[in-house]
Amino acid sequence: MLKALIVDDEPNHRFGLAKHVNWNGLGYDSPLLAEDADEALFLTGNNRIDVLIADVCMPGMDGIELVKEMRVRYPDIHVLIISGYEEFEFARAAVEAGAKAYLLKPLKIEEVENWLKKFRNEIKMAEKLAKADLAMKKSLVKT
Amino acid sequence: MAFNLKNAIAGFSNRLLNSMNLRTKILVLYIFVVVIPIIILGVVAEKIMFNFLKTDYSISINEAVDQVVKNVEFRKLTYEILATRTTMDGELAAQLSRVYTDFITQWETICYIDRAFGTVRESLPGMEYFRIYHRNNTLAEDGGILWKPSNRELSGTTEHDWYNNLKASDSSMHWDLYKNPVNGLLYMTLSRKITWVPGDDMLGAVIICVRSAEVFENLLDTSFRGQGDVFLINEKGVIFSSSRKDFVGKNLVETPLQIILRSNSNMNTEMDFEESKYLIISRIISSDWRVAAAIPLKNLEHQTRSLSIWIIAITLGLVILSAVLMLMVINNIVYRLKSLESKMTSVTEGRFNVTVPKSYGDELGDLEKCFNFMAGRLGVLTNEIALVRTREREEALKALQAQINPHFLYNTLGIIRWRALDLNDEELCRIVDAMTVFYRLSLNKGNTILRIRDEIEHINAYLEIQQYRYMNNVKVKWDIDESVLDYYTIKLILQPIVENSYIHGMVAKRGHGELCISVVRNNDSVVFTIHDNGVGIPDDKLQHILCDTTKSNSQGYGFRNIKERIKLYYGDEGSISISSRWGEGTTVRLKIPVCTEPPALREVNYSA
Repeated sequence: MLKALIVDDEPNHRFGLAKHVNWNGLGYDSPLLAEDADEALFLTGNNRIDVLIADVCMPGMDGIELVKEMRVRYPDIHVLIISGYEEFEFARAAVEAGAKAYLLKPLKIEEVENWLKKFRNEIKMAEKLAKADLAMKKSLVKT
Repeated sequence: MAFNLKNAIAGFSNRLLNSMNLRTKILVLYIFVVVIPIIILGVVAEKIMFNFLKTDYSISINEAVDQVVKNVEFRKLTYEILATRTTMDGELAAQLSRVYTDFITQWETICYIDRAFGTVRESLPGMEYFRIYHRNNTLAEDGGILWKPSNRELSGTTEHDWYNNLKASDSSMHWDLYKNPVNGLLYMTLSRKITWVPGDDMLGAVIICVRSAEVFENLLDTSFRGQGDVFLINEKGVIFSSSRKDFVGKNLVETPLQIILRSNSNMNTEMDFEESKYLIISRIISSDWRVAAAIPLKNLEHQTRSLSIWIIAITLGLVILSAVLMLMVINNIVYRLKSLESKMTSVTEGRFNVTVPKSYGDELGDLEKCFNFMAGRLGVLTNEIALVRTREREEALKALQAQINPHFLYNTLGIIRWRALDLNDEELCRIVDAMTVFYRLSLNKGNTILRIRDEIEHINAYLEIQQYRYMNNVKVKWDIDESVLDYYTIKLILQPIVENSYIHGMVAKRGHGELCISVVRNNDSVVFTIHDNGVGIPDDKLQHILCDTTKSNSQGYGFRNIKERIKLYYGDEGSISISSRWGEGTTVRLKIPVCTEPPALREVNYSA
């Protein structure tokens, strides 16, 4: 099972996502929730996080900086940015920081789930590749 | 009282003048200032010239008559001097008064007379005979110069009668006229007594007979070169010589010229003679003779007529020339004023791209130049104001949109959506989604330009919400040409029209409401048509909308706003039209050019 972290200063959005997305059906554990960047970083220290869902606009460290920070720690992390701003500048900054997707509020569950599905497939594929790679290395070592 | 009258006249003439148009005023002025003076001048000049001519003519005629008088007097005097000189001959008197006793002395006397007077006959022209009569019984007659009175015919009478009459007469000399019945010629005789001293008994008499035709007529014929007649009249009123042969021998009383006899002095008058006007001049000369001249005024009339014709022609020419010039000037002025007026009307109707063509250097030309400049400036200023106003409105819209914090709005919508999901309310979810789309496209990140696809989606979102509001009461028909969806348009040009269909057309409240929205490409244009079967627009209101005379906040305001924005971005290439029938619905048609790139605000055309 994959693990997701939702960072949003507004509890409604956190709980909404946690509640209405079919996490288990998509192969995810129940997501971790954080109300700001500091809490998010703290939580990632104790858990392996596969997917980060972050709001751009938050008090303290904003979503873009959090993504940058997370990418430094976990280069393989998949990032989905949610935002009330549709201005292109924000989207570009998010993509440059390493976000795979940029979704506008109000969120549509189907869109979120589509992205989560995509991320899961990518992660599975990467794991498979890594396993195959490892098996190949092992067989090489044996021979 | 007089003051009141003056005021009344001034008021009347003012009213009269004010009621005339400019052309009439100038024409009236022209007639009073130019035409009437020219005509008066012409008439006065004609009169003055006529009088001058007449005076001149009369002076020259008088001079000619005076010349005739002088000649006649001189000629007459010549014969009288001859007669007088004969009778003053002392020797002759002595010879006539002598008593002759013998034939020798008689012979000597006859010889003397022949010697002394024999050449007299040849010395003067027209002389018929020259005789000396006597009653000296001792002296005979010779039948040449020396005669004795007897019963022979002489000067229209007998010699005796003639001699006796002369003797009885008080005057010593007189002229007689007689017509020779044989040859019909007129003769004049000059008779003179022979005395020792005047008053004494008559010793004899001298008679000089001349052919009046030869003596006087040659003086008369050349006097007026055929332009008039001269008459010589003796003391009895008989015309004894004239350039008019048919008058010779007649008494004046028998002729139309008898008027001459009425005056005992010189006269100078005009009268009708032989069916035309004549100038009659008569002079009394010695022996109560008269010299009369009848000059036809025909020549004078002829001259004055040609003069009059010239003056009339010049006057008319002046009047016509000045009239033509005047009319040209008036027409030019009036035409230019009219064109200025029509151009000014254009300006008041809002068309500033008018100029008055081709001006001249006069005051009107300055006015036209000023007008052209003014119209240009007005056009520029109006354009500027319009542009500034629309820009201000665009800015205001942006400012308003900036005040709507999108983050806040979308966050709130997001919360509502979560709640709807919590309640499992799918419809609310869709309303929230429609509102999200509606606001996203309304705000459009602050841009005024979007693709046609988005503008359609915008109406779609708006309609979705309206359908929720009115329980799907309205049937919406779409007719979209997919090929135009990627072109650009300005935002919020369709939605306000659809909104009008709901608010003013009440399309949702009438039942069987229907909205047809079509987007088609027509050559280089994209045409949007929005038709509803709502209540339509009353005619008077439609007129207001079409004439841009609506007050703000009414139906036409949105329409005008769209119209101005289309003009601002597309100029004359874009347009919006509206047609409606009360009770049947409204159709709005928008046309914009095909834009593959986002259109920009048009610059004001300063060149105007």
